[in-house]
Amino acid sequence: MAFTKPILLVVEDELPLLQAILHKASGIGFDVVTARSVDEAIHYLTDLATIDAIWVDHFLPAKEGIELLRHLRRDSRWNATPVFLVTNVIEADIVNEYIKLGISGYYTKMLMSLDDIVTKIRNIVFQVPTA
Amino acid sequence: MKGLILLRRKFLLFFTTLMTVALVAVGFHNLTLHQPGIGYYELSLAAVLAVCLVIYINHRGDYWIPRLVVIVDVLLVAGLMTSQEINHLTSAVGLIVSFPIVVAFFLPRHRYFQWTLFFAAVVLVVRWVSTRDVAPTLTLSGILRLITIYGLAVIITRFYDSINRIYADRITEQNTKLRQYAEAVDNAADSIVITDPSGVVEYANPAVARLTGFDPTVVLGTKAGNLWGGLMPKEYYDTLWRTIQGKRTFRGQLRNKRQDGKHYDADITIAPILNDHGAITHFVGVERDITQEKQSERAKSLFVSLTSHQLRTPLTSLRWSLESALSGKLSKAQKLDLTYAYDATKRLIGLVVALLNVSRIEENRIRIAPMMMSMEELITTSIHDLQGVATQHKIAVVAKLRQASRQYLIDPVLIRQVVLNLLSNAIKYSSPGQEVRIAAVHDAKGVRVTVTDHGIGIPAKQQSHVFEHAFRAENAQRLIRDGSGLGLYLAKEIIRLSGGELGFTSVEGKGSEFWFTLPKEGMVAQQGDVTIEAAVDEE
Repeated sequence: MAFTKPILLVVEDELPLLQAILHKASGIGFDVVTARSVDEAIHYLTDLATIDAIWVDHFLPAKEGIELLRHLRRDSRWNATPVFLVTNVIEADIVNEYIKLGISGYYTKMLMSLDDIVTKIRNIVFQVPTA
Repeated sequence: MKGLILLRRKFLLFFTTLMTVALVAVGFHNLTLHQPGIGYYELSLAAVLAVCLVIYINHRGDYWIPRLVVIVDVLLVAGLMTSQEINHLTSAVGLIVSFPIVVAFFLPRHRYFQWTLFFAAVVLVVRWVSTRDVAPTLTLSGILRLITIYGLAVIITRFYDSINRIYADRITEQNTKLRQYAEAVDNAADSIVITDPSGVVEYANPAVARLTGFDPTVVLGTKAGNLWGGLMPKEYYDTLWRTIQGKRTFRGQLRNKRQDGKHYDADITIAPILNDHGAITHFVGVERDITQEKQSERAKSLFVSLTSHQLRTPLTSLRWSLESALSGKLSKAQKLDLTYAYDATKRLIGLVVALLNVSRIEENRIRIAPMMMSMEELITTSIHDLQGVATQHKIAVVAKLRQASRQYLIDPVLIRQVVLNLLSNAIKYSSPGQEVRIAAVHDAKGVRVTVTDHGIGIPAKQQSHVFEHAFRAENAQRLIRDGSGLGLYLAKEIIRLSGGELGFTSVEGKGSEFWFTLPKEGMVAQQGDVTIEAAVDEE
């Protein structure tokens, strides 16, 4: 399978969410790769040639999203890849840890429509000037 | 007879003093008559009485001393009345002044007649012994004297009795009250301890044993709190002592240790008791066990935050799945159904967020991170956020803001929540076509933001409840059925945390004006692990 559009790696363990994200992000111009755990995501990192953006949740089974971010930031290949934290976690300390490691966006899932989040991510990745 | 004991001392003092003074006066008067012996006699008697008085004043509660004084009084009177040398003046004064004393002490049952006879007999016998006169005969003057004594006895005892009854009543009343208080203190559910000024326990009620596990007999004589205290930081106890030694009442909450090692939370009040000179004589400490309250408070908060957290994932699923479905190919009816479901989900999310916010505020977990910014900027972006809602309700939001404006230390997340809340209320409770105004005014004290609408207003009799948890005015409920009633409560709490004030004026049917202020010093930073979430629809 060849990817022609920008690739968005979505790491999210909730299946219904994953379905909705896949649907929405594909419709808006991404090729979407989904992973349901940090380890699965890391696996994709070795398989795929490029990834244009990564969508990650904080609470994931086994390892938390922050582990993936640490992994990415240690790796020169993925060091600059934009990462978006999309989660229901609101504890300041946790979010600050992500910010310290470098993320391109932080969205509270429940409070935003999927359309809004995906559009925001697209605008950043495609470098569309914000209105 | 109980009352008598109290009154006796004053009575005796008064009349013995009166008698001494009278004797001195009569003595000096009689000296001017220049008759041998007269005058010196009375003065020497006065001296004896004065010695009695001094002894009596200095003694405390001894049984025999007052009686001794009375006996001396009586003997002196008898001597006065029987002496050949003295004149009628001395005799009368002695009689009148000393008689009440005798009555007060020896006539408790008011047997006037018997006692009068006895008294007269004593007088006659003493006179007979002292003068070796012929046996006494009952003369007219003797009878008159007896009648006088009797009358005096009646009048004085009546008088004494009435005063005594008043005293007795008062004492009985005080005793009853004291017994009631003692009973109340003994049976109080709160632990009550009375200590001396150094904090050593003089009294501990039975509740102390229930609360601390220590028997009152063990507690007595120890320093209050030594057995069950000591868990708080030193500063806490320092403040406590400084407060009560400064003669002020200390109120606080603390954590203590029971005899069995278990901890408990308590509300504590310690009040100093001062004497007439303003010196501390005792401390009264009251402790109320609030362990249960604290636990249920914590449990409630935990429940709210746990459930709200657990609800987040399924709610997100619901929202996004519905959103996804709505973007597909649908019939008109399907689309309408799904739109209802989607809107309901959003409202549910709003409610969960509001509940979470309230629990965070109540747990004091809110972080305040102020930054320099202008209120005008915050208001402008808030209006922008609400543009969708305003358009939907056909409301024009008019901002009266100055161009170049002062900056304050503001936590944008928290204050935005307040502005959004006041504005969205104003929009939602107005009629289509109306105007909502927002203005910011600066003065020496800080900034005041006012939001004015011409909507349904708040009924006068419900206005006092506006900031209560989950309160919704009747007319608001009719207009919008499913508000949470948490918005204004939250706004008020945020402004309170920010050092400002929030208030309103409203007329039902005419509209409302809500306002809040922030001090010119701005908000003070506060540690905390979360902030407020804004559950405002961006669509």
